[in-house]
Amino acid sequence: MLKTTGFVGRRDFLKAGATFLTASSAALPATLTAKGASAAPKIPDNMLYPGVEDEAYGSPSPHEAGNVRKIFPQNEKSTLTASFTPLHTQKGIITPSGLHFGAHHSGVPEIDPEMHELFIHGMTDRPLKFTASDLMRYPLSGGINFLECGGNSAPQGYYPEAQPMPLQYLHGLVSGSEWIGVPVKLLLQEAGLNPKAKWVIAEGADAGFLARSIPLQKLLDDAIIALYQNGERLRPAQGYPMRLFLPGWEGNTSIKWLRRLEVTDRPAYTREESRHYSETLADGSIEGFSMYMGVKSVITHPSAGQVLPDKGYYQVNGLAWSGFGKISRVEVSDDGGKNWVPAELEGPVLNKSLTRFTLPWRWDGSPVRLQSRAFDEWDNVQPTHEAWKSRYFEGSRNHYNAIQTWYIDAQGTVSNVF
Amino acid sequence: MSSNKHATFVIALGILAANVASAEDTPALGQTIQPEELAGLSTTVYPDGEGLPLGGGTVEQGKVVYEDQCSICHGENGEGDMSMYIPILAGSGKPDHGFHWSTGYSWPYATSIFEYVRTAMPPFNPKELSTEEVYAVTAYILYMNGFLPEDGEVSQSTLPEIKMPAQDYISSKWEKEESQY
Repeated sequence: MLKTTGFVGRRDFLKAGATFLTASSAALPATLTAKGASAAPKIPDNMLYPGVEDEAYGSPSPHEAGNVRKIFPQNEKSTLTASFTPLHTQKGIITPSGLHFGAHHSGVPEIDPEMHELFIHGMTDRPLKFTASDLMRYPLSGGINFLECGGNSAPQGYYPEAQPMPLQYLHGLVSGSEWIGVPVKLLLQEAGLNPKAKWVIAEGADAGFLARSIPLQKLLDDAIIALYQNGERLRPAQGYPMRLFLPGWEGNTSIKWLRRLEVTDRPAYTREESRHYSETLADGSIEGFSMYMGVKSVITHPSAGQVLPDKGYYQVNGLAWSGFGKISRVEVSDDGGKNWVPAELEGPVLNKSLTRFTLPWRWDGSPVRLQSRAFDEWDNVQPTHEAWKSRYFEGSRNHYNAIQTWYIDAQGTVSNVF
Repeated sequence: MSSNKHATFVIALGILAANVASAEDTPALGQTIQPEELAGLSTTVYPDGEGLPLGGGTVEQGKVVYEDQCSICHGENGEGDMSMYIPILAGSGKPDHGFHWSTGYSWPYATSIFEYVRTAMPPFNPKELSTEEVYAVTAYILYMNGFLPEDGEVSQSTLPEIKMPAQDYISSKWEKEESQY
């Protein structure tokens, strides 16, 4: 068979893996029986002296202190700030809560949960208010979902040339968590919906009253008022004590520090939906209310910012997600998209969730263009950069979901290219 | 007829399902919001003017507010500074870059300018402007874009009547296709 890619057949890989395991297990007993021999490894202090007590709330190892978000800071004129998830260190579909991305238009407010109320009013039979402790007593539901900023990957859409940025800055405004809360429909039913109701204005308790007009259809579907993230109450930067969570939709619509749901029959055209979270189409017109996040994937290992130390075996792996549903397939190419090889979908493949994909790969040391493309259960396909650009006006930068190309040069340096 | 029986059964199931999913299975802890609390609760302003408070302001008054509160960031002529993430308020039309729209040519409704200034601007001390000052600075932003004359003004009744150019070239992806998914 003509070998056209460096991807290793699964059978070959398992065989190679077995050889490696056999060698290791054969070596192990020899080491243990050689007690006292001069070649034996020195017993480290941590095996001689007991350690310290555990912390009440655990922290990462001090050796992992570099595993942090990159912060796009506020400046003396703008309160906008964003924190980018280190996707290049993440393995798995859950982002630790402290590494979850954030985009905050008026900073992160400090909120006393006892002082915070959620108001539901407008086209309802009864205007109602709830405290967070009220909501904790409702039937809770939720799931493991991704959340992605509408402006994730913006440099790819904004600049005409590919920027020499690492993965974290290019695509770090997406994260995955388990989100648990009260289905919004339970509270809307309790308030009693006017049959003419069609939209809900959702507003946060931040200094800028960040608000979005949300179609009622979504709130009666899978929307929750999230109280818990990854098993604990929300972090302040994720909306403590409560946030709206709309699975699969543009992150900005999942209003943090949720304070008000105003039921109405039309959108308000808030600042967020007038320009900030809208796109300019190729014909120069503006498209707003683009709620769904399109099917997308990115190879996180290897990725820009990393260097391959040598030719030989690597496990290519990455993350894929779709705002429409489950990922059905991810394919990988190491020749710039001429040949595509199906990757393994590993771990749970969940609805509107980050999904892991992997593929064993042998790098022969020559320059390559490494890519992944994702498909979802509704037959949506991740577009090429060129196809994506052709839909939008030059510089339009939101909802970028095109195939990422990593160029690996002969020295093993990985960089962002179009 | 069996098909009718089937239909009745389906309807009965439907009612049962509705009951199961209804608020009866929740603790129903919502407290009624009292009218006096409800009155000042919403600051949302709709394109047709619902939510606008009584009042108004002139371009002339707005120039004073703008130069005192806004121009230090947004520039003397509303030119903004995208390198500092300061939005462009006034422009002369469609830009040649999809991220460099001005408020004047990308926001379809002037009512949104009023709402945003009232609730969120200036960013480090929002909600300090009076209703008249918010109307006035809204008028001034419209003037900088050429939508109002130098002696113009806006009010609760006239602001929704301002025809913003983006109304001719903005669309909703939700209305066009996503609501059908």
